[in-house]
Amino acid sequence: MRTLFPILCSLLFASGVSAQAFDTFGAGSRSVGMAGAVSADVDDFSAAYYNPAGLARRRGTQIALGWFGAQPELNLNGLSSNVDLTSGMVLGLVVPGEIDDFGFAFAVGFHLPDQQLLRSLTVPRINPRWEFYDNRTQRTNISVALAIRPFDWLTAGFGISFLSTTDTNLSIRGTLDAFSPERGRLEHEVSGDIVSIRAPLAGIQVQPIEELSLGIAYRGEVSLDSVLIAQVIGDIEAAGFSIPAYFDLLTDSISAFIPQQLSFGASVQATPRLRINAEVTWVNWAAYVSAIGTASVVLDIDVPAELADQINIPDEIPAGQPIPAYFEDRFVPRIGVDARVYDGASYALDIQGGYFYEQSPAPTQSGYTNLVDTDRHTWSLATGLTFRDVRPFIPGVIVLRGHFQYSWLPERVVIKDSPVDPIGDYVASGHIFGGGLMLEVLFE
Amino acid sequence: MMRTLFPGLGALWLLACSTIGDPAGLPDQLPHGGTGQFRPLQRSELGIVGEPEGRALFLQANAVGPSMVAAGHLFYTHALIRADAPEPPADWSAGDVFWPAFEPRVISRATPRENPGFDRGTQILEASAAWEGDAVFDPWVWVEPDGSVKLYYASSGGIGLATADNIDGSFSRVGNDAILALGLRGEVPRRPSVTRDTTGTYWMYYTDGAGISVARSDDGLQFISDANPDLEGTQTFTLTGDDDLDSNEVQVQDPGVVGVITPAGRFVIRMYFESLRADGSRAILVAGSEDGYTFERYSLRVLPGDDLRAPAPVFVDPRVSLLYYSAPTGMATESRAIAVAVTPAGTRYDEMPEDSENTE
Repeated sequence: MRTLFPILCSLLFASGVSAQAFDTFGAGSRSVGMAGAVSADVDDFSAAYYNPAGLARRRGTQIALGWFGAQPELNLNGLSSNVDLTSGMVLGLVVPGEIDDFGFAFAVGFHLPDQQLLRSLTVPRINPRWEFYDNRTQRTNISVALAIRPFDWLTAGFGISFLSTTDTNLSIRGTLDAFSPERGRLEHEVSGDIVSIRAPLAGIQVQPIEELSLGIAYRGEVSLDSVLIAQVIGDIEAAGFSIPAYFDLLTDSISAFIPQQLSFGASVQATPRLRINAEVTWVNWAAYVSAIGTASVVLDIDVPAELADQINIPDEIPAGQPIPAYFEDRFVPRIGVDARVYDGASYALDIQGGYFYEQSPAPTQSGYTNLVDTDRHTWSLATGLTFRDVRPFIPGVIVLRGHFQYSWLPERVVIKDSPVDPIGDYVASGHIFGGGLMLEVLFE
Repeated sequence: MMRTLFPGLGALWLLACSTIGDPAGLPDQLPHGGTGQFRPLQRSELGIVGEPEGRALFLQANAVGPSMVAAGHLFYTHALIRADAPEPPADWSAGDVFWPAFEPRVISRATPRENPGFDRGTQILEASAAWEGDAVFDPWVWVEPDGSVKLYYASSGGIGLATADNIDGSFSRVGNDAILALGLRGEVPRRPSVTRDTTGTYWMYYTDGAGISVARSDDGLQFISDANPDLEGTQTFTLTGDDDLDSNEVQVQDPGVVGVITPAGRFVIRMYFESLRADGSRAILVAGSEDGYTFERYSLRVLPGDDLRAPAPVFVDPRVSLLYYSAPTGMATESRAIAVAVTPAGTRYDEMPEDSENTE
């Protein structure tokens, strides 16, 4: 019986977390290459994430198809945390139009994970986990946006971002040996419902002069309540007795959260071949809701009279309570450059580079929780090779893009208040390597 | 040009998609504070027969007492059964060793195996000094950086010390008397447990009547304690916090300590100890301290079982800890055994074939 309780308790304290890949690693090779500093300078499908207003600048239809991956190499005490690769297909479409000099555009962008379409992660609440990288990014994401251009110097856009997540039911039936759980004969059944959540997007771009563009973009908060129901019905074998048992667990937590964000960006055409962008994003991490939610348990075990003095079943198991994350708002500075290094009749070559810095919003985890996070420095590099001589196959141009992104997560030392903390002190650090390829077709 | 480009793009695309369906990794390298819950190793992991589960040493018709592991060697209290062993009285507790049925206790050193289990080994110390009476027991070994070894042990006259050049070497007593003859509470101290902090100070915790006391030393030879009022710089051992066990605690005893430098560079002493409860049961609990005097208690028992005694931890790495302890066997002549448990409970050792020699 005493062996069973840790198992039950680990379920009692279960929780999960999630968000989306665009928010963490960016969208589109060019935009990622410029470290996301594109609120004032984006007109491809990634505008559906960065600033939908930019879509109205596009003059021709764009179809984009690519693959993206990011491999976290995150460590606790120098040992890999085995955080999964995030990878998947990226699809984008931009369709512009014009009615009596009134420009508009529609866009849709997809991130479709190729590892798994959906993922639900349940871990004991005290277990250290990389709050922003473990499971958070492995989500299907769809962004749709509509933009208008009422004046040549002003564009505005609106959109919705759809994110997938799950509600999960776990059912276990069978027999469990109380003193040797590995000898149990249990049947497991897991079922889950796919549900979507939506977040608003909005933005404005202003171009007071040809060489200067300013952008403001807002991305709304996403917060999804997720429920896990687990039932265990069966017999526990102990000391020669077969004891009927019923266990019911209900956890309710915020399994998907993306904070609202507001970006201010500027883009300057410094020379005919060089563009420089700068941006700062306010991220409302103070509203972050920890994935550690409520948990209630009903445990009913009919203990035989012969074992009544050896096995104590509590009359009531107290419910687990949410633990606040106490995150803090952050400003994320970004800078990016875009240079055309070759501009010929048949093809052109562009390169982009960028850097951004994210100060961790998570407080030092000196108490009960272990929401692991560190600061993050990210450098990126991208290139785009434009093929102009593609007629008669395509009435336009083809652009082959690729990007590489490197994030350095410097060491963060966590010293626990209690010298007998069940996790103990630890040091978190890591690297994230990302990259992607895109094929874009731009129709005239 | 496009005709040569498209096959290349196709190859890149296939390469990019080649990871589809890869299995996900598991977060199995998490830090752990050594608080448990510990899992007794299985017979298949140890290759050692006999009750209870987790048995780390098999000695038929022998009695074993408190033990500890240092540098991969098990040091344990050991006694052979007498040929004319008397029967225990009718009211003798089945979980206690009836020492009159055995020869005087000695200290032995078991030889390591490929896993956390041990083979019998050899006797390394028996009572010979007058102050020791007829038995020595409760060994605790501290290995110095140069490989030399200090063996602290208990006897009827207090806590003594013997040294050896290395973990395999022969032990010689230090001095002609006990290094700690009297505890703070006026009782004869027993079950010494020693560690050393990053400043070089030795900390000895010992059973002192109905509680635990502490003594410290700069050289590991001469200990300052509250029982030595003429020495300065003493403080009292304090255990803070509550536990979640149903029955009230009436006594703590038999500490087993390990000094740990955490990955953050902090030195912490973890003390595992027996907690005697009002209902007659014994639980193994753990407490931690930064200063060596004030220990904060962890609220849950570290190991399931109501009659487990003499815990002795081994810090394997920031993820894994082992705990050796004394557990009842349910047999009359061999009433207790040395067992071993591991935390986190998911840690698995390779399966070992059952060792016929070990079964005697």
